[in-house]
Amino acid sequence: MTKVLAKDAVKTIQAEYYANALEAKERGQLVAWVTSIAPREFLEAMDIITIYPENHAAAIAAKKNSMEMMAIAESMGYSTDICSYARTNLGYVEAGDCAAGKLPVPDLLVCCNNICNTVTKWYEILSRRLNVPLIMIDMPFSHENEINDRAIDYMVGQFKHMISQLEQITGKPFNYERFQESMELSNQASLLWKEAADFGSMHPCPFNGIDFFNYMALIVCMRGNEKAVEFFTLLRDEIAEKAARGEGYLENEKYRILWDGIPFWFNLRAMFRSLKNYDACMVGSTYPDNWVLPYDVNDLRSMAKAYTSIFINRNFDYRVKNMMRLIDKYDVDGVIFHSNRSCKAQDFAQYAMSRKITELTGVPTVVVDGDQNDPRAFSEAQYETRVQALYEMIDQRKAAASAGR
Amino acid sequence: MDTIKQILSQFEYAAHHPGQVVREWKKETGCKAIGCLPIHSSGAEELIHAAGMLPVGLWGGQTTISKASEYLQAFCCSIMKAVMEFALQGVYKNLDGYISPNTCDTMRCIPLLLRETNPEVPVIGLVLPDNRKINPGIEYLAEEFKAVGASLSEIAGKEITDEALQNSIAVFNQHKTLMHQFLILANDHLDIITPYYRHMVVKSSFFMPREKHSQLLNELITALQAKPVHQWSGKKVVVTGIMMEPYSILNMLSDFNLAVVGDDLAQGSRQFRNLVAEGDEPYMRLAQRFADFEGCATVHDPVKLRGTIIKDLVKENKADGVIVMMMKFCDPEEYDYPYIKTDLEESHIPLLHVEIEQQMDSVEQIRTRLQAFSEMLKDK
Repeated sequence: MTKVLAKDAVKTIQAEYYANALEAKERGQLVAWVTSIAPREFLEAMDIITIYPENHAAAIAAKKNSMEMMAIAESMGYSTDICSYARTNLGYVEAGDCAAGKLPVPDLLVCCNNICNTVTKWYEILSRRLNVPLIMIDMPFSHENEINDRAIDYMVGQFKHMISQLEQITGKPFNYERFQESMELSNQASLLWKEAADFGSMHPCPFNGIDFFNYMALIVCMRGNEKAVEFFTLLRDEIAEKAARGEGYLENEKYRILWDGIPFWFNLRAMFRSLKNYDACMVGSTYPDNWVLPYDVNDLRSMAKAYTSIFINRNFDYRVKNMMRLIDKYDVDGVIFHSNRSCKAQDFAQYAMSRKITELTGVPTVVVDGDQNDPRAFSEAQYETRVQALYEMIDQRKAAASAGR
Repeated sequence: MDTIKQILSQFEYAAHHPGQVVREWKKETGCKAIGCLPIHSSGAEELIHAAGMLPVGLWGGQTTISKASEYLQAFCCSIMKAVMEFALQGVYKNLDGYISPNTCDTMRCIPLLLRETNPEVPVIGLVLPDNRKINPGIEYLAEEFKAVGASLSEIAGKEITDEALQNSIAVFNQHKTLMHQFLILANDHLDIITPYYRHMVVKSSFFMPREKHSQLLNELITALQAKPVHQWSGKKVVVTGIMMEPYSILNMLSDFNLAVVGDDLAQGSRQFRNLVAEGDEPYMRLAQRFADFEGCATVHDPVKLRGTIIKDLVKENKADGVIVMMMKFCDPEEYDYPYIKTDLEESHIPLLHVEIEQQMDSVEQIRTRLQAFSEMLKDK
């Protein structure tokens, strides 16, 4: 029997996930639309189906259908300057269908602003448009190097408030037993995810880092569920076997690249070509790394701290140190910063970050213009020129290093 | 009339020369000044005052963007571009610190850049809660204000006592009350309080010491009250958005006989709309004010009350229409717009949406649109 490959399994699991969600909704199970790095364990505990408009929007873009959805939102008055995920989703809500399939209509919304303030605005609109309750989880931006106690107290207070909100919405007592299980599973999935990604440090790198953007769908949607643990075990083992054989994704790995930001979902091929054609491998990214969320099970303080600690909710020092850690771990030759029109929370630190990283590590960096979902903000030719410039800088640096030796 | 003109010119001077105002104040008092970034530095301002310092609003301004382009992409809002430009050019050199509220995604990055480009000047984050109405949110914000207060004390070299803070809250409450009183009274004198002067009075409050601004407001109110009510023959509008700049737009409103009779501007009534309620514990009082506040794109509101608030403003002030001054690249405002549009259209309130930036090459397009809007209102 041939073994199932992770890249095939992810497609099947995801298709099943959406199909099951639609069926479950029909049967009367509650559905929540949730932001990508919200603590979904609370919802898992209450047997609430979680659906991710961000993932769905990305899938719409991958199916080349985002322009159509965004046009609907834009015709309603939503500016082309706002997040293209939001525009895609708000357009989808009006259209009711799209190339990436239907979503079950939500009974509630759960918005965690650890990723940006944009989701707060987006979910306010959804709450009014769909006339469903919005549970807001506010994770205060951290200006300090450590997360302060008042922020943790506040988050724990909100968790407790959310538990009572969920009890009210479902009419059932909160299932602490299932909550604990979900926390355990979430930690396991997160650890497996990290173990898989850690193989990026191997020479040659056993995987194509772009694939992680596809696997990401499951760490987002199903973290805290048995199926995620199953899948990420498969993924980790598959990569481990390749690594044990010394097999690389590329035959002649020449450049090891770190990617900062969300990809251009509507043109992953451009990303793929701009790397593979130059024997460059994406060995890691700041984006999937966000879902490495280890915490102590049954400790709400630890959980709050893990979820609020992601780099986009942190100060400049943390962001720089976080990237330096990834550069060191993956032995990175160059960094591509995706200046993503949709992601101001990340963008406006990138110019300073890219200079700081080169200053502190010597590793060359480029900032490329684009967008996660809006093809109008992306020029493939311009992008490729920038990436080529990065390869030249890496060559020069390597030549200088070997000349100096 | 001369008294009124003389008072207005003092407001105008402060609005046009914030640097001068700060320098003079520092020279006179020997105390420090703290820059307050938009939008809701309220609360921190009282703390700055209680520490004997001057809060100074930093809402950008007219400048040419050059150095800031090394830090900010083209799609950053013009206010924050101007703030970074001023910071990099040394325009803020008389400021001894910054307060940076978590207003939007752009303002997740601005404090990081201010720190990175000038580590000498402390940047104090003020992280306002989204779950501001539940106890954990109110308690958190009270603690946050305490932490902000502690950082400010350090800069001032002076402890903030509860007594001093209670006193500062009273000073600010009085100022807000006077601002509110002035804005209502202004509608009886639209010939004098033109859109431009209305803005000058509001804007100067971001730079002048509050006591002095209050004193001038008092004088202005008294002088206006002595005058007969003016029967405005033009049309009346309510404006909403972040701010009403560049100045040329204000004069255009007058050119087309449009008076501003109410505002829902961030650099305007959103600052003065609600007072800090009475209470014994000053930090809890400040937190409670934020819990009670409504109607800003940057303050979490799942019910989306802004349309209703604007409709009420139209009704209370007998306005003929609403102008949305959309600050280009301001995400929160851009997200709010479609529902404001829906709400106003449902009530058959005429609405004009104009896109503005602090640094605009040309405002001629806006002139054309304002003209068309004013003519449409005349025909109604």
